[in-house]
Amino acid sequence: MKKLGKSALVVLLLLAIVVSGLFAQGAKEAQTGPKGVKPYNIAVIIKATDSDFWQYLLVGANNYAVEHPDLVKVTTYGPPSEADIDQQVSILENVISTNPDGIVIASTSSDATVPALEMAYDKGIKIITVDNRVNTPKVHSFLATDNTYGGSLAAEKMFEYLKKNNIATAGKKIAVVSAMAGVQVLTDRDNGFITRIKQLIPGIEIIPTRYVDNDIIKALSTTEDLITTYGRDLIGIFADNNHSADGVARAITEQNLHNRIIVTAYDSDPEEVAAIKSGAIKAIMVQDPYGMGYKGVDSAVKAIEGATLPAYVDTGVVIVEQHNVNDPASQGILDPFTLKKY
Amino acid sequence: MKLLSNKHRFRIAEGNLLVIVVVLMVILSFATKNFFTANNMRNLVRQTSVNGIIALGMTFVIISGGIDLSVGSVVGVSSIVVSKLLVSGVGILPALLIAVLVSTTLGLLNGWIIHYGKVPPFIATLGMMQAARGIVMLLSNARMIAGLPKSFTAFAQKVIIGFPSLFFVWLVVILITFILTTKTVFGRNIFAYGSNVEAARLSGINTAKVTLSVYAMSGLLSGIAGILMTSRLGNGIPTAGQGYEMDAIASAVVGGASLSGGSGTILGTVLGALLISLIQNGGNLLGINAFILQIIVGVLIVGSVWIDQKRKNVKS
Repeated sequence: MKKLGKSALVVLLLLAIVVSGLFAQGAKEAQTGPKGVKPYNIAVIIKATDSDFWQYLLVGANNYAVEHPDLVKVTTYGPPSEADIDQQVSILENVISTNPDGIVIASTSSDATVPALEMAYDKGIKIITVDNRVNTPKVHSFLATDNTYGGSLAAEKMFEYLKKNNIATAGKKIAVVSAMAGVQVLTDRDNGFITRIKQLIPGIEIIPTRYVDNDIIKALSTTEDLITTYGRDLIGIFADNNHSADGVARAITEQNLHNRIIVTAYDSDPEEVAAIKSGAIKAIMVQDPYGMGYKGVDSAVKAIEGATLPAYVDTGVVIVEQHNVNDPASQGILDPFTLKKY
Repeated sequence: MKLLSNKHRFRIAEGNLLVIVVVLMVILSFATKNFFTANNMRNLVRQTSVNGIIALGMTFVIISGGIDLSVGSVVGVSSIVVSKLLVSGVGILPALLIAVLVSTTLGLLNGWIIHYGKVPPFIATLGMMQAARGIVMLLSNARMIAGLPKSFTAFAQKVIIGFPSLFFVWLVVILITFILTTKTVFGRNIFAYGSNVEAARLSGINTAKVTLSVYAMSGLLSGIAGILMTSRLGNGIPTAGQGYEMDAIASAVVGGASLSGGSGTILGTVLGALLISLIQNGGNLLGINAFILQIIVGVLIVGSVWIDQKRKNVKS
């Protein structure tokens, strides 16, 4: 009996704490919202902290803050890996509770972040999405690369280099090595590539796409197997991100097939740049993550100051090849860390 | 006496697996024109070496009744440490030694936490998996490390009397671990410890030594695998090794190691690793849909353990 009384007391106490907590929070939330005074607080949330690409985006965002110290204060967040969709949602929810003036987010999932973003929008926080479209109209602007178009550019470059190297295309095969299945941006790139290459080389056979879990060693093994299987029939490989391209390039280099198999790819990292220089990869479609970060923050500022923004801004791709890889203009695109101002 | 009958049982398990591997190889030789070529055989052993080495370390841990989820992250640590040192101008030999030392220390720390902290291996190594990956990201700023000396990257490209250099490293590791598990007191102690911790302790086995050394071994071999991978790829890669713990566990389990401890063999794990690579390689050669291949690997893992269990039940 005594015991029961004790536990009942504990339960009551806990209940009281929870309820009072709820009330206190409700009161706090009613008082605050975005303040809208300079410097504006802008939160930048990336998909993952474990890749060069997203680090580049942060350089762009932070540079903007360094250049405009009185205008904005940028805080950056991100889960450790792109697989952590739920963690990104929690980060977003925590960020919203700090009431920033604007949020720039590269949302990993197109749906998971929707409820939180809509809530933030309703609170008056300006929402700029970058890289990946989110399925809600409650965003102020969307900045991204047109990946389907980028994929078609990769196909055009492959066609150009096949001709340059006098490689016959009749009855031959082309392979697509994709980093991962079920990721929208990658699917767009692959489809853009496949559609365009079929237009350019009617009758070309596209080998079923191989997926490599974004692992360089797996990309390398897969490419070796493709080369073993199709031999001289294989004349081109498209790799849809940096890790898949690194593995493909390694296989081409190891077997010295630079002029027999034409490789075009997406994204950039030091290994891809080395492959461009050696000729293992002929052309890479490089997005502008730096620009996404920089323009993302800039758009947020404009939205806070009341401007109406375009619903979609294409941040474009730059094609880097052997002839322009050493240009100063390419350097900033290939390694935005050289632009770092902090 | 019990140990002897145990050994006998494993030989049968390995035999089954060997038959499966050989049959699969024969089928692939007929089904594809490129499977049984010197080039593809070289590819196959090279593709298996990295996982093969990690899986052997995992076998020690599994025999002792534990699990090591941190191997993939330790591969990453080793890759980044060796790259950073080489890029900053440290000689190849000291760089390799330091990377191996760091990896072994992480393994040792796993063992220490498990033995002295009484933290379950799953939890201790899960924590290490996170922490070690954090170290990797911190050291590399999440960026790839390029500019490794040619003399270092050339090693993995070497072909010695028709076989890739990575294969020889794997072979040496197989030999050493085989001798350790079958011919030494240390090896027998691991089996005894894995079968029954309390009995092992009462019969005077130094349990601290066993636990610390199996995890150190796993760290050491993951470190070596990380170095080989870095040499092959020519870069230090922050995401290197992600998910490799799964392949290593699968290889050991398919090879007959039991997660409840006390059983497992080096040759079984070697065959297990080979079988997993064979399915990937064969699937690619045959042009099988990538998703179907994934289903096949999943079915294989569960199926092999199921059959193994059934056989054991029939025996007893």
